[in-house]
Amino acid sequence: MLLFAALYYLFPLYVMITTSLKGMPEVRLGNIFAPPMEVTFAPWVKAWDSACTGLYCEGLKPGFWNSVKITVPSTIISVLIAAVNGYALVNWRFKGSEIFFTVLLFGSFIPYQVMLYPLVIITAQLKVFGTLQGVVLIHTIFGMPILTLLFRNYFASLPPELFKAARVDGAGFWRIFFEIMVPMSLPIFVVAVILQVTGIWNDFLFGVVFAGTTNYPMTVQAQ
Amino acid sequence: MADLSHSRSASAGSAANGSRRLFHNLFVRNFSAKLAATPMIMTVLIVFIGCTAWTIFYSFTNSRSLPSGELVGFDQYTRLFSNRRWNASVLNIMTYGVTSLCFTMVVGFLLAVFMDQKIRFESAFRTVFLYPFALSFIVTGLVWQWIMNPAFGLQAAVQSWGFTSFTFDWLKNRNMVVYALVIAGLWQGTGFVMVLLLAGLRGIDEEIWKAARVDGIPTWKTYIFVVLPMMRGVIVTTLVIVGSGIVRLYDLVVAMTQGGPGISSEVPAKYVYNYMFGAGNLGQGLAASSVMLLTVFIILIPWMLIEFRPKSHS
Amino acid sequence: MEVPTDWNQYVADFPKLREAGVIPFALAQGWPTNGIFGVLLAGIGGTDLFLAVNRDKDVTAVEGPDFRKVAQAYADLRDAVDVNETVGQWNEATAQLINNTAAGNIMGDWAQGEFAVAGKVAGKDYDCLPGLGLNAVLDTGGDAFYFPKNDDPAITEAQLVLAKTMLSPETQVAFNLKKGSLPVRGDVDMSAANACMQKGLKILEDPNGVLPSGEQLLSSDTQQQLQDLEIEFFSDKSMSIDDFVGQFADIMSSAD
Repeated sequence: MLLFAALYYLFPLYVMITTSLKGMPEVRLGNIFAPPMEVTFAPWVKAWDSACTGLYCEGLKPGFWNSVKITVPSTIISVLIAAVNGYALVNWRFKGSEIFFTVLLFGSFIPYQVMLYPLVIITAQLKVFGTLQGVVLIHTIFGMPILTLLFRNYFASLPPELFKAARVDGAGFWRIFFEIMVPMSLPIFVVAVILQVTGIWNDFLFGVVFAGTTNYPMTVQAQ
Repeated sequence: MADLSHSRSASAGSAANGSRRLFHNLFVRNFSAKLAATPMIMTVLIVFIGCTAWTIFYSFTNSRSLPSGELVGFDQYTRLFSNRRWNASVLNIMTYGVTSLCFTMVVGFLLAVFMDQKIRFESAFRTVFLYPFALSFIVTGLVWQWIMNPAFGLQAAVQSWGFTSFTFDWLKNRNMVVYALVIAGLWQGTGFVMVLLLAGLRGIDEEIWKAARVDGIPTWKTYIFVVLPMMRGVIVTTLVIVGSGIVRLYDLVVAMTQGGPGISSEVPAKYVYNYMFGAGNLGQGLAASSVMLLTVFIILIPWMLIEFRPKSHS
Repeated sequence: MEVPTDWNQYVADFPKLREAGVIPFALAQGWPTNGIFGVLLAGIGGTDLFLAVNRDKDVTAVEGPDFRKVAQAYADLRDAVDVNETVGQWNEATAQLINNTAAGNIMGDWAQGEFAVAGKVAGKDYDCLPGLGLNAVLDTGGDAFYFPKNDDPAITEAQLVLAKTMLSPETQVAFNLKKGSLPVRGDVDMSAANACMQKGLKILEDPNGVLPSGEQLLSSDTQQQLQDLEIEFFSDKSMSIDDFVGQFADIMSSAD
């Protein structure tokens, strides 16, 4: 049973890899099961270097670097903001903080299409529409709910005595965060980074709307 | 534990006037925490509340390419629900949603149960089931479009083996194309559901299993009648995550079918995008997205009832 | 088989083409399906009907007998096309023609660029019927180039140079010979043009031969609705002509 299911999950990967190693005439033969008769890496080279998408014939290379330029800063910024935020929510509660957090969680279920157009206007006002900074901002915003939830729950699970002891010693907000909380939460940072990297790397909608044609990430180009 | 920072000094200044105290309470007290929470507060106020309100407001206008235009009441909604493409989109997403939700939950649960049998190579299987989740819907759509293409996909391959009557043309078949999307969507998403449910299964107390064994209840009965009800929390969370993902369905359709053949695999999110950016009828696009919002809220109600009902214990 | 001289003959040949194992009509999904309707409207319906519908948004014209004939032709074509033979992109449909797996197709003049690359000669290896051989008109349109306004004189200068180059007679001749399309100005020497382009040029000489395209006459909102309707109708063989015409009239009654 499990093996059978595994086949369903592996088959597309098999097709993806074997087909990508076939030359175009062999692809047209229409046998997706057959391993390539003649292994050719030419399609890979072409896809990377010279395939045409729209008007540009530079392959996926520029899209790849755009994806990198979008993913790296978005991940770093969103994870940092969420970590500090989760910490504040657990250890430094203030009036209304829980209400904001609840709304934030609800917000993560609002269909993106609802907020798309107003965000276009806002980013245009901030003069970041159609730029890499614009996409980074959008990813930071939409990564916030799930990441904050992640960090908040993690920090809440740490023994509160640690925090109290540090307070008694007179340590402030940032010192406790950097000297006690961060070193203790590496695993959750790893989870958050993985979550953001895959999510942002695979994003299509925000890339196509906010990045601007010269900054299209790879997903938009491949499509 | 909260408000340890400056609260004492603030309340001490009894002679201070009210406005100064208000300023102090709002900004100075617990300043770092508020600073840290500023991005969240801005996101909530400006994006989630502000943008949503903006969208709902302008869905009642006749705005075209730009958000101007005058209030026209429910005109956009009337037009929306008399539009064939929109109605087809709603029907498609309902078919997709119900089928996909049932299969994701059932298959995800079955896989989780099998994984729970202390099998060998568990992590290898987990990787196999989960790797599609790391791929984008764009890649998923392109791969499955390739496999399901009658001209050089599965159909052509099986036919070339001599089974000439074999057909698998769902991508070109108006009645089946939605199920083609379901297959691809399941491939991408069940692994994630499995992991969530497996975590839920592992959270069940060993004592329950021991008790069931002592009572001589068959394993499958224990799963369905004892374990499943105990996993209600995890299941509701999973349902909500899967459900709100379904309402958003967009990338997969764009990559796999472009809404075709005809309009038989159109979805609401695509309608919104088309009218907002392509056809320059903002009011119409915003009305459609407001309907999507309403749908999500309806989906969220069961979750809210369970998550936020007054807790009797603890 | 003879090359047909107009659309009606071509359609009449469909069964024979099927027998010969050739796809009668190559079709790409998406916008080419919409383009076909516009061409049928101009070719079969004629200039007056085309303008009455697209320019005057005349609902009675839509409900009239001439429009019905166009809808009928569209439905006939729909019934002749096998969905399993449709392709994703317009150039794949053109490739079907070049490889002789399909007999014909409705497409813009730019499709000739593909033929040229494949080394095919107009009038010999392939031919074209502007206006479907029924009504000598061309529906025009094109890509517009917009130059953003700016304060830097050097950039403005460069924009002017680019604009001048694009519109210069030499560029127009060289570009259009490659692409297989028609020049945007009438005063250039296109004697090097192929047989198909000559046909088009002849039509251009007549001021009544040029039709503005639907894209210029209708708002994008209306176009989107018509597009959705046409695509739906073309994919659903059970949708009746009455239904199609009724919907079309509905959209036109609120069109802008």
